Formats: sequence, structure tokens, C-alpha cells
Amino acid sequence: MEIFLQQVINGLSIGAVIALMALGVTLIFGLTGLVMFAHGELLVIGGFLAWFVTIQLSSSFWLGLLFAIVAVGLIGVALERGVFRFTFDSPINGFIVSLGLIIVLQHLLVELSPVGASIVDLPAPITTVFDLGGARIPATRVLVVGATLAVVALMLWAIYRSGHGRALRASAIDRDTAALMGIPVRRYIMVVFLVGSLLAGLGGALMIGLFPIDPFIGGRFVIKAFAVALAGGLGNPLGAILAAFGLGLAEAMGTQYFQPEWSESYAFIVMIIILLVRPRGLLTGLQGPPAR
Amino acid sequence: MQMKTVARNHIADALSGPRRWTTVERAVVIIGVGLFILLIPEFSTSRHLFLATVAGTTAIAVYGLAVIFGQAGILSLAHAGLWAIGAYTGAIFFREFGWSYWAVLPLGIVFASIAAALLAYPALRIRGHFFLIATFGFGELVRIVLENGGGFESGRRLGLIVQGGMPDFFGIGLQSASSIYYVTVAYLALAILAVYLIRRSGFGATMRAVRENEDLSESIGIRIARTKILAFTMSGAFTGAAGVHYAFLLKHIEPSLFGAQDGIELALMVLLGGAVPLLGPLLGAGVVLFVPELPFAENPNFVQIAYGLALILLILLLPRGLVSGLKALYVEARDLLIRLFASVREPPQAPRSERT
Amino acid sequence: MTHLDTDSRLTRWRWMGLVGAALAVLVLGFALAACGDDEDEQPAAAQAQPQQEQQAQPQAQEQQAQPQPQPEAQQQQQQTANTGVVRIGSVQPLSGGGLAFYGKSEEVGLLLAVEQINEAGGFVVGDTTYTIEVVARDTRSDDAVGIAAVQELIRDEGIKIIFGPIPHGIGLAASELTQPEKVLHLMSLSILTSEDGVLNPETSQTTHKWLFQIEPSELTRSTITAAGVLELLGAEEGDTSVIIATDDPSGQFLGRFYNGVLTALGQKTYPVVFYPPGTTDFTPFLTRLKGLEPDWMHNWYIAADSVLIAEQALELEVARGYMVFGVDPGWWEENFPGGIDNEAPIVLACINLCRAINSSERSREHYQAVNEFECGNPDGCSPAPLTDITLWQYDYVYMLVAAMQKAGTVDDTTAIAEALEGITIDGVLSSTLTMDPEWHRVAHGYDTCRVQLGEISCTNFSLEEYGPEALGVTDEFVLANQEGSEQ
Repeated sequence: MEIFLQQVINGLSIGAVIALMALGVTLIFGLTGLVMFAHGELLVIGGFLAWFVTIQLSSSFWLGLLFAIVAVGLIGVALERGVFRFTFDSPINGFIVSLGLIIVLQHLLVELSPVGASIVDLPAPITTVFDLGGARIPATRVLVVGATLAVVALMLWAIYRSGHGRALRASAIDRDTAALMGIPVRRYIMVVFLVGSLLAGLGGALMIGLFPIDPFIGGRFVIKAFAVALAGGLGNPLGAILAAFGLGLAEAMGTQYFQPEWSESYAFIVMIIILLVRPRGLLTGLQGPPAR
Repeated sequence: MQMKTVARNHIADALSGPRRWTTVERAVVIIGVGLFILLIPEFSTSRHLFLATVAGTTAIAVYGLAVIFGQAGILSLAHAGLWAIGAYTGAIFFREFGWSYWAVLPLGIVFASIAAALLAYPALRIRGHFFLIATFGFGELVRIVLENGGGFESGRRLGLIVQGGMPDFFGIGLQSASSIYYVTVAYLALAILAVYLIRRSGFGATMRAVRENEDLSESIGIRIARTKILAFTMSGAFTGAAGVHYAFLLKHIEPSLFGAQDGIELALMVLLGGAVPLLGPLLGAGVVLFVPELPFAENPNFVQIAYGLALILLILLLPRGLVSGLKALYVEARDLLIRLFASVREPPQAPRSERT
Repeated sequence: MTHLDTDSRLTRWRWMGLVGAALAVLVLGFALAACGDDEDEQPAAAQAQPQQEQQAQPQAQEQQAQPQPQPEAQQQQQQTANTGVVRIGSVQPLSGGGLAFYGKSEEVGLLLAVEQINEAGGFVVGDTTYTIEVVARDTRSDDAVGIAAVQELIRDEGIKIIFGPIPHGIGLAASELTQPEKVLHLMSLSILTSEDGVLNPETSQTTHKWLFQIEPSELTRSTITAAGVLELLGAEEGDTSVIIATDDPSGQFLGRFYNGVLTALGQKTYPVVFYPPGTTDFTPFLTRLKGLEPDWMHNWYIAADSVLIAEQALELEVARGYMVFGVDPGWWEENFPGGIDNEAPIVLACINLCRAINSSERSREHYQAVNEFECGNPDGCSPAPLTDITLWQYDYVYMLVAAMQKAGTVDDTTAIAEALEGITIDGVLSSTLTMDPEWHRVAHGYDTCRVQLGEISCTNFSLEEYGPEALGVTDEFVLANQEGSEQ
């Protein structure tokens, strides 16, 4: 029983990081039709910045967290302005550009990181470990899940309840009409990139509080984030978040009760099956611009 | 007198007609590239000869990708997976069942073609970047399956080792580096010829019709599903052959050689060289494999960063690839020279200024 | 095909022409291949069938035949100064990828030994004093580049002795290139003499006469390591031991083999839990292991992963004690996030002999020299290296020199290979480091350290007391029990 409980905790904390990523992926897709695969690199950069501020500059983790969020947010906006806005007519070009960006960002990070390609690690920001009927629950994991849920709730409120959220959803449903109605769609695209990157920065900083990262780890998270964004219905934030926690739990349970070496493949299998059976995603959400 | 007229006509042609290659220029390029490739063993070191052999083999796989991307307009990131299927088929049947190189080569082609045909089914339902993402997933799945799957215990533990390699063929030993290179060149020439034939055939036209407008093609009676599946099958055949050859060339294979990263690298090669020009994939493979050999490319990080930037810039600025770009540059320069020449020689006949 | 066929510009004669061209290309390719063969064929092979093929390129044959032993022997006699240079090739991954770290360390071991030998004035064979020149190449962690580098060393550089490369797959592939050329090839890969390898008592006398495994067999290494680890942990027979290992070819091979050895040593064992390469969150895997209620947890084989696994396992309280493979105690003391005050014992298995804490005077001297060589400070480098494998090369340069002196030649690789068989040197790894004449491999003991409550102490576990023969562990039993005793 305590093993099961332990795996639930493991799954939820993996799910939290994926959820923060998936929210960004799904928002950006909803508005621009772009599948931004370099989002995983933003996550990693967030983690590295948090590490750099905390360890190299001997500051506190919380300052590092803040710095990572802001810096990654700015990087995201810069990428939208500098690169991606040229590809909004052709999402396939945008996708290939994001693949190129993965290679660039990964190796730039290796080049700039004081430790090169090596793993970086932080001591847990909170060292308390709760013991719940034999299950060991590090307080950091509780913090990560809690922070994620709070941020996600805030985001969902902003998207579904605020005026800006309404305008955003309108732009996602039909960009041209929304623009005709006076909604500044271009600005919303920038905002979505900013918010998506802020979330990636937060996810990265929280992640390095949980476990170490290296410059090449982004790929495995973005594929998971995309898989859950797809499962939740692309452009549907709520669906993506539910699916993220679902995948996190599935991976933990799969490792426990099936072959652990196959746990990596679940996200791919889910993704391919959904793409084949329901190309627009499992739950219906915002449709996003046409796929071509 | 006669000659002068001919020359003048030639110049006039060059000036007035659409800017393209003349037959002479085409022949010069083909013979030049051909001679260069054939003479590589004469002037290169063993190191570069082997890398050239690897580049040639890789280029065959890239030609496979060029068939579907250049003609049918479908890009795939799963070709490293198909490559792996070819390589593993070759290695497993060679090692575990004692088949010869010449027996496993067609088998690898068949298996990779079948896998490619299966891969085409998603392409019937989903398009554009959704298909691309599905192929990305497929590529990674192949790697995970190779890492964990199968009853080939020896393969599971260390990657498959192909011992012995290529046997004699009609009395010709294929053991030495330059003979393996020439065989690779022969395969490569066949691959280029095949792409040429496919392009010129009716099926090539059908693929291009599908690429340009799927709905319109369907309305005039083209069977989209069959076209796509056939295109993928052909593409898989190239990649499978390259895979078998690669396994024998490297003498060992392991799953990490064929991940999604390698799929992206193949796509980079085809985008770099250009999928449509006949020499595009060859140039793409050559550039990607030989740039790290350059003396200023000592830091592998910078090489990778350059690849990434090249990919981004090509997509944004030069979507038809390097070969087309070079060609356009050359034609531009040539026409400029001819125009200067003509205006000097024959001032009254002012050059016709068209679209400059 | 479709109705568009009629639009095709390919008429029937064109098809025939093109098919003809294709055939011509193939024929031309093979014809060139045939010529290429004649040029490249080795003199030995050419002598076997001297009749017809030689006619094609007689000049090339003669050129090939010239740089054989005799002219060089003449050269030696003519020289009055009586000095010479022996060129040794080194191929290792020095950049690009996780193994670059190991490749550099191996190369340091080789370069250090060469520097020491040269500074001592070289070595004497016959009436000539030789120094050693190292020709080093980087595989860039790319198999194709690595194989190209081996070809370059053999063919372009004319080198007859090569060390490396790692890891297992490319090493085996490289041996396929060196052996037909009779190049002396020394690699620190235990895979060579495993059941999937190429070296055994038969091949070592025939096809792979020039190949040497400069590392003990996997049976020796796993047995000594496991026995040492269990002793330091205070394990008893019947305790449960579980293993977590990387899911790649090397991890699958090493992890499962070690599992078989633990079973042979009386531990209750389960199938190895494999994690995908690149994993950083090990908690789901560790939780699964915890569910097996183990006494001891062991992890193979990537040192950087082992550290993370240990850290997360301590937090989860997976077992009563842990084995960490390949991490040097110096790194651990300086960098392990949890410090060294752990209550549950942690045992560090060094890859050969530990660098920061030494179990013998010889290894202390060696690592002082390594520190001096690497960072100019004999007391240690900062930051402390995560792991150290200079001893995978160092002793064997001396062994090679001894074999050359015994054989009385520096370029007859067959004679040197025969001299290497059964040779014993007084090395750092062992005072009686012997090259097994049948298997072409060595055997020696390993250092293992125990970390608990602020103290680190290292012990050498010797081949004589803890080796497979002493403990009665056999290959057959291990291979039959790789999935563990409880399935």
C-alpha cells in the first residue's frame, strides 16, 4: 500500500512538471497553430538559470526561481519576435524551425554552462520528508504539486473567466474575425508566448528542485507535454492538465507494475494512437487554426 | 562565320529564355561531380575515404527521404527508424541465420519498404506537422523497441556485431576500403538514377499533383491513398538498402545510432541540399558529415549550433536548399557576365532587360 | 500506373537506355571495386593468390611490399646513433557525449606512461634505444568517425600498435579492422572475452592473435567487486540484493552479469530494473525496488547516474545499504549532495583503484603522477574527478615495452604478441600483472570504499582471496542466473 501511495506521489510530481509545459504548448498551439518543440529547451534553461543563481551566485533558491521565470519569459518573447512570427503562415515550417532551435539552444547551453554538458543539481529547497504510513513524501514534491495547482488554477481563471481570456479564446477560434472585431491578435500571440515561457521557466526551476537536469533532457519532456496536450484536445488547457497528471500517474504505475524499461514509451504510444484515431485530440477544445 | 552565328544564338538564348541550365552546363556539372566522386580514393586519406563511404551510404537514405519530400511533399522524421529496420534486418539475418550480404540486402529492402508502407497509413489521415510529430514518435518507438525488445539476446546486450562483413562477389573481394567505396558509389548512382526515373515517370507527376493540391488530384481520379503508400514504399526501399549497407560498413550497430535525433539529422540533410535537385541529398549528406572534419570545426558544440542555425535559416530564407541556391547564384552571375560581354561586343543590340 | 502515364516523356527506348545505363553503372562500380581490391590487398593475401590479379597493378604491389621488416632492419644497422621511435596510436572518445570523460582519462593514463618512459631516456631493444610517440585521435563519440580514425592510423599513418577505443560496440568493430592487418590492438573492454566477444583460447591463437583485453574478465571483475561490496556492507547469505542499471547495451550486459554473480554469492536476487538512458528522476524505479524489500541496493554503471540514484535512494530509504559503481571517493567527499554523514552504509566501487584514497603505496605514487600530469599539483586536482580510469592504460604501456624487449623487435607485431602471452610485470594494479596466454587478458584486484557516519575507508580486494576461483563462482552459473533467484 505504501508503495502504491509512493508511486502516486511520484506520478503527481512528474505530472506537475508536464502540466506546466503542456499548458504553454497548448496555449501557443491554440492561438498560432505552431507546435513548439523547443519548449522543452525553455524548461531546461529555466532549470539552469535557477541553478546558476542559487549555486554559482550563492543566492537563495527562491530568487533563482523568480529570475528563471522572468528570464525564460523574455527569451520566449524574443523567440516569437525574432523567429516564429515569420512562420505563422506555415506551421510545418514553424515546427521544423523549432527543431533547429532545439539543437541551437541545447548546444548553446552546453557552451555557456560552467559545467559543460554535465548534470547540474540543487540541494532540495526544503529538506523535510514526511512519512505517511511508510511512504516517504519529500516536502519539495508537495510544494511542486501545490505550486503547479495554484498556477494552473490562476491560468484557468484567467482564460475562462476574465475579459482578456475571452478575447484570447475568441482569437483562437477565429483569428481573422477576432482581429476584425478589434482584438489585437498579434499582441495576444506575444502574450501567449510570454505566458507559455513563464510557465516553462517556472516548471524548469521547480523541476531542478526535485531532481537534477542536463542540457539534453528537454526533448523527453516536450514530447510528453505534446502527447498530453493532444490527449486533452489541442488548445484545451483544462484537458491538457488533466491528461498531464494522468500520464504522470500512468508512468509511475507502469514502472511499478509492468516493465520499467518500457515506461519511456507510453507517451509516444498514446500520442501516435490519438493522432491516428482522433487527430484533433481526445477531448474537444479550441480547434486552433487549420493544421496546414 | 558559322561558329559566330551559333555563339550569338547561344548568347541570345541565354538572355531571352527562362534562366536555366544549358545542356553543356549540365553535362559539365554531372561529369565534374562524377569524376570527383570516382577519384576520391586516388587523392584522399583512408580516413576521408571511409567517411566518404559513410556519406555515400547516408545519402542513399536521404534520397529515399527526397522521394517523398521532394515529390509528394511529405517530410518524415521516422527515416532513421526505417534505416534501423534495414540495418537490423541485415545484421540479424547475417549473424543469427548465417545469410550472406547479398541475401540480406534485398531482405532489408523488403522489410524497410513494408515498414514504410505502414508508416504511410497515418499520412492518409493527418497532414503537415501533425504527421511529422507522429513520425517523430515512431522513430523514438523504434529505438525503444530495439533497446528492449526481441529474443536476440546477444543483440540486446551489446548492439549487433557484424563480423566478417562483405563476402567475395563473382571473385571480387569486397574487403578493401576502396572497393567498398566503389560499390557504395555504384549503389548511390543507382539511387540517383532511380530518383531521376521516378521523377520523370507518370507516377512522379501523380505525386507532384498530390503535393500541389490533394483535393483537386482526387477529383481528377488520382487515388491519394495508393499514391502515398507507394511513395512511402519506394522511399523505404532506398532507406532499407542504406541500412543493410551501413551495418556491414560499420560492422556493428546499436539502437542509439537510430534515434529521433538521427531522424532529424536526415531531415536536415535533405533540407540542406534540397529535395528536388538531383544532387541535393548528396550535397546535404556530404556537408553534414564532412563539416566536423574542417580544421575550424574543432569544437563539436559550434558545429551543432551551426547545423541548428542552418536549419532555421534555410527554412526561413532558402526553402529549396543549397543546390538550388548555388544554381540560382551561378545563373545570375553567368547572365550578368554574358550581358556585359554582349553589350561590349554589340553595343547596338542593347540587352533585353527582363526581370532583374 | 495511372492515366498520367500517357503524358510521360519516357518512351520505351528511353527506358531501355536507362536500364542499360543502370547496369553499366553497376558493372563499372564492381570493376572499379576489383581494381581497388588489387591496390589495397595486403601483401600476405596477395602472396596467397599471386597469379592473375597481380598483373593488374604490379607497381602498386611492389610499393606495398617495400615497407616490410627487412628494409627497416637494414636501416637500424646503418644508423650509428642507434635511436628510434615507436609510434603508438590512441583512439578514444574525447568530445561529444557522455563517454568523453572516460576517453580523456584513458588517454591520460597512456600519455603519462609514455612521458615517463621517454623522460627516463626510452627503452632498449637489441642495440637501439627507442622513445615512444603517441598519435592520438578523437572519435567524437561517433562510431563512423571512430572507425575512420582506426583506418587512418593503420593505413595513412602506418601504425602497428593501437590502444582503444571505448565503448564496447565500437571497440569490437575496430578489432575487425586491426586483426586482418596484424595490428597489435589493446582495449580495456571486458566484452572481448565474454560469450559475445571475439577472443577465446582458439581465436587468440589464430584470427585474433594480435588482440589483447587489458582488463580482467567480467567474471573476475564482478566477483571481486560483489564480494568486496557485500563484505563492506556487512551482508549475510540469504539477504536480498537488487540492482538498478542503465538500459543500454553496456548496462544490460554488465547489470545482468553482476546479478548472476550476486546470486552465486548467496544473495536473494530479482531481475535487474533498467532505467532509460538520460533519466534523472529515478523515484518511480527506486520505489519499485523498495517494494521488493531489499537489504542492499546496487547500481551499475554510469557514474554520474549512480550519484543521483544514491541521493534519491537515501531520501526514499530503499534499502539498508547501497553500492555505487564507478565514483571516486575524492569526488564523493567533496561533492555528494548528502555529504558523508549517512547512517546507512554506502560502498563505492572504484573502476580500478581509487584515486583520492589509496590502498597501496604504488597506487598513491601513480595518482600523484596523474595529478601532476593533469593539473600540476601532486596532492590532487580541483574539482576532484568523478571517476578515474587511467589504470586501464598505464600499466599496459610498460607491459608492451617489456614484451618488445622480450621479443627483441619493435615492429614485428606477431613476435610482440607472442611475447605478450604469459608476460608478467610489476605494475600498479598488481605486483604480478600477468597476460593470460590463452585468453589474452589480465586479472587483478579492485579497490572498494565504505562511506558511513563521516568516514571513508578504502580496501583492496585481491584476486587471490576474492577472485572467482577462490570463491567458486563460474561463468556457467552466472550466465544461467542473470535474471536472479526470485523471478
